[in-house]
Amino acid sequence: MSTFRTFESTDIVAGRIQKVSVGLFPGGASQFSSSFFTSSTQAQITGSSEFEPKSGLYYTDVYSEAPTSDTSEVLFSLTYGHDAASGSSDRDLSTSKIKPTQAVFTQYQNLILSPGDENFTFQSGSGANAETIDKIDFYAMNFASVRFKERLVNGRFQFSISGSNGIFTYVDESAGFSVTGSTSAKAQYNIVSGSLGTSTSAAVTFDPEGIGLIYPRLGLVILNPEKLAEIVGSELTPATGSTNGYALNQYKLYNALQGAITTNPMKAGNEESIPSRHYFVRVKNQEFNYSNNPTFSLQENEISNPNDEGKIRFTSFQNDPRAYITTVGLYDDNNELIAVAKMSQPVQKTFDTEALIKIRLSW
Amino acid sequence: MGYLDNSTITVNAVLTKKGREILAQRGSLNINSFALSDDEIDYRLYDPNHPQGSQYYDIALKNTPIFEPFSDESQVLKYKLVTLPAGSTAIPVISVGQETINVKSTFRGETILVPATNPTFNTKLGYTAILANKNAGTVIGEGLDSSVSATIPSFLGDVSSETAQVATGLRFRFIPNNSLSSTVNTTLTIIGNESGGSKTIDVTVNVIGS
Repeated sequence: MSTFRTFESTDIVAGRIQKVSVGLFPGGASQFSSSFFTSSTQAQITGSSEFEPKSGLYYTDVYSEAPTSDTSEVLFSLTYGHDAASGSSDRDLSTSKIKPTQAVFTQYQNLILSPGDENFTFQSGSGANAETIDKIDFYAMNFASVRFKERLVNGRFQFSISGSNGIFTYVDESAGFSVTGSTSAKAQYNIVSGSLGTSTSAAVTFDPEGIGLIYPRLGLVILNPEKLAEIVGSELTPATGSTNGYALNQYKLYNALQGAITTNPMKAGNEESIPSRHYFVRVKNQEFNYSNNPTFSLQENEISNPNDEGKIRFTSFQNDPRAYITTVGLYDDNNELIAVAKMSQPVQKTFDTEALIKIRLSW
Repeated sequence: MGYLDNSTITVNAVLTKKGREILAQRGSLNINSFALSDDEIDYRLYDPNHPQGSQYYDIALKNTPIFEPFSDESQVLKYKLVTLPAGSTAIPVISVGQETINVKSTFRGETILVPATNPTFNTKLGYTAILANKNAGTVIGEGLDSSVSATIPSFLGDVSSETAQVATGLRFRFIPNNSLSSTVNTTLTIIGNESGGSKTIDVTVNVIGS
């Protein structure tokens, strides 16, 4: 007589890891084609908050909707880095010396490059024609961690930028592999010209033009400003700062992305590994055929004879009881309720039936 | 010729608040047992005289919509399914030996309650006593190993549970509130922590002259 049943060792399957990938954009969408938004609080401001990291000197958050909307979400941040602090105001270079673009350059340098490597290196051409381009500045598109989870999914990233030379669309080079996903995972891929097809096999130009690099595990895209300006338009040439003003070059990239987004959607997916355990709940024919549910038996307020309290409500249930499982509770050795699983519909249990319920617990 | 249905029911479980807490503290869950419940089911809707025949006797039960899982571990699995010998005619019933507690607020003693379950049950995890209005007095539980820390289902009731006092044990002492200014009428519910059955008795603490 019991309300609990102990699992046997073979009932628990541990160590399962399930890879889950979904679209990166709000609602799990795999592409985004609405206008981008920025916050007015991340424009260049003056006063006591001028040098706050969130004030826009270092980076600009890009939102899915107007930031004043309750449903607005940060999609990614844009920034510009320069190892000699180009883009800072003259006043900053001589007086305040916070040098945001240099700070940004160094933090990405420390994050990505090997010690002693002073430049971001982009690949142009391939095979015998391959060249490397060292750069001391970059644009960065940094996806929010809540968006990219563990990594950006290989071969599912596409973005377009607009300039005076037209609209240009790029993907990560792994999009050209016949098998997409983490099976071919590398730490870094070139950004190449092309667009994702509707199938996993995409049409991609494999010849990188030195446009940029993508780091899927960091949710990070590094772009070469000089090459972008050459191909897309001179509007993307980073500016130097003015007497009192910072260049805020990330807005150049923002404007280029904004100019293309409504006609050329941005596409991306994220991926995460979810550890899970499977519990096989085996309900044998002799077990769990009665219920403590107060409607299963007669209650004190329904009887005239006190001896009838607890009697099973239906005579037929006394010979052939039927219980209906709606909930499974998983307990630890202290009988603490650790996890709960609900059936989609009640499962009938009788002395003539057994139930095998597989519970998947992920965390 | 059809195909046999050999499918296994696969359902996703969610961690309870307690489960997350334990995972954070211990880094593992140590799940080693399961229990089943039917909280949503109203067995009174079973109709052994259904005009369309025996296939429809339990149609109302099978069609019952089911709640999503709650993460509050005290609000699920309130009524557990139980394994009893075939031919059982009754479900374990909890009794406490008296139907009411009726004392004066000036009473300096205590009322001892020793719940029992027929047939024998709840010997390991004991009982939970819920005094609906803690202004009436104090309930003290005794007799359980302090290491027993089982999840106890609770009942929010129609009124705020903030006025309730909860204790666990194999037996209970009720001590009336000596500083009442007016008579308090409330209830004391004893729940079997293993069987899930319960017994509710009325509690009155009288203030003379009120």
